[in-house]
Amino acid sequence: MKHLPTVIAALLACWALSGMARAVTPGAAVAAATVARAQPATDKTPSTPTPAGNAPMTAAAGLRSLDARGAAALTASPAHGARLLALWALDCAYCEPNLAALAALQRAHPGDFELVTVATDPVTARAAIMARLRQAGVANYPAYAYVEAAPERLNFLIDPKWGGETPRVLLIRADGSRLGISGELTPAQLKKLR
Amino acid sequence: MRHLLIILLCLLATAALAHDGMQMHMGKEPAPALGASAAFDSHGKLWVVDAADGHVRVRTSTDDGATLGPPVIINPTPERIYDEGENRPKIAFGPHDEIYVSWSQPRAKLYTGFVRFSRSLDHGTHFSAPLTVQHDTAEITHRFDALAVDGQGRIVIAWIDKRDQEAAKAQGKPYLGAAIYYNWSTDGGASFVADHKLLDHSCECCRIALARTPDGSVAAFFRNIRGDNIRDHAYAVLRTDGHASKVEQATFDDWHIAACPHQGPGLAIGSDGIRHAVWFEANGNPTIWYGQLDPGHTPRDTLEVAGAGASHADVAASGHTVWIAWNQVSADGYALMLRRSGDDGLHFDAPRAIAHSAMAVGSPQLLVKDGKAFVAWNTMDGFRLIPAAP
Repeated sequence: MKHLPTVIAALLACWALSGMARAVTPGAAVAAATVARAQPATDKTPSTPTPAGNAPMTAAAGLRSLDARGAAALTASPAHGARLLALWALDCAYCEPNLAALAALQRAHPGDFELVTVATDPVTARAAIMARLRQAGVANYPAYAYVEAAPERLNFLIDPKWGGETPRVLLIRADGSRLGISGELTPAQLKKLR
Repeated sequence: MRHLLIILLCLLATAALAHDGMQMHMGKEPAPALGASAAFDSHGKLWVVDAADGHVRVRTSTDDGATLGPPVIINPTPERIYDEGENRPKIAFGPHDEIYVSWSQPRAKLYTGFVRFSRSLDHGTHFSAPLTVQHDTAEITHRFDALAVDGQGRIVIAWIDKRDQEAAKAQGKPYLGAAIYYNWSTDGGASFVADHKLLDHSCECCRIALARTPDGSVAAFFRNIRGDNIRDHAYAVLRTDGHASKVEQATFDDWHIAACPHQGPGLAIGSDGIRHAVWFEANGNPTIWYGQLDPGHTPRDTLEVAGAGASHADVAASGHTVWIAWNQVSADGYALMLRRSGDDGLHFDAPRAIAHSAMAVGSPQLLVKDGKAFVAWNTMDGFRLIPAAP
């Protein structure tokens, strides 16, 4: 039994190392979003994350499933700056330009915005979702897809003022204020987000 | 030895958590899609069509949905099937109890599809090998099929089609949205006539509603695009007599948006010719409307049916009774909501929940049998048929 403390420590370390593989928790959501702000990386396959809380990652840890609890975490006000939720769908020809525009906005103001992409499709469509994110050049940002087979409930939990049309961006500021805009963003609307 | 033990434990723990992660992220199996349609035949038997493992299948019920019989596979060779969101297999009946089924089949490229059709002439024992309904074989959008049978027994199928958008793109010209095409069969679904364009510039991903008019024609109500991306709705009788169909603006909400609403309208036409319609728009707050279409003019007797959290309404009419059903979400899940009018849609009673589901649900579909309404509701817990009676 003399090795017990070492074993427990090892298990804890392993748990931390594996933490990113689990479904989103409030902490993980914020941590992932913070990472995106710190380092909008190039479009690469996700690499193994480092265990420390806010340490930089080279990319987001793949596609995560979003449930009601995760939606609450994602829509909570950030500690500072603002979070951009880029809501999109596979069957949406207008979504890719929006994703690219929001990524450009985030890169231009890396200290002001976290960017998180949320596909309203079931996470079981993982391959198609990741392919589209790569195509739009935004696969390096924290990415979520719905855990449910129909999007309406999570749409409502994320933004009760949203009828489910895509694309939509939801800007959540640290002061608690929000701005939701549906449709492909015009230059004037992009300015509003800034 | 100590190091070995630690490495072993670490590997075991990682494997366990990775397994957990796989379950959370991937699901053990793909979630069943919720796209299903239902209809009563002339004998009061309920038919439910949906898709599973690449097969479109039908099940029947002679006890108003309490029990469903074993599935009959329509396409023995599996193929990809659009069966979620605004896409679902459709079923309709011919004048001599022919059974007609249509669906949209995804092709390899993004946003592409073919409209597929099969029929049974022996009460559902056997189904014909599926055929492709549209004659344009380019790998582009021909999907979001809608199916109806007219008073002459013609099978009318309408769909969203991007051949004109593709042609414009090839010429470097702008083209908003897609187009609505349709064709029909005069030989009970053995073949379909040439593709007919109804109009350019429809919305790309909202279902088309079809309903039969009192004179036996099939009418379409759908989200189109006018002006600079205003996504309201248009109405047209789908002419099958060689004359061009007249398309008229039918809703006037001025919802200006470059987006996919993912919510098509509903239409039911009474024997008195009243065009009962429900539709969604979010020019201000997201709203589901009821109105009586007066094509070319604003709808009459409009009613704000439901607001935030409401989606995918359907409408049915029988005699002077009109029913509206829709999904209403809350943090707890989904409620199936109903409103009823006994005076041709002039007044509706208050919304009431007639069923609940904690899990995801498909779009509700109102069915009428012998003057009584039912709502077909496909949920993750299975198919349900819920009486709309008070």
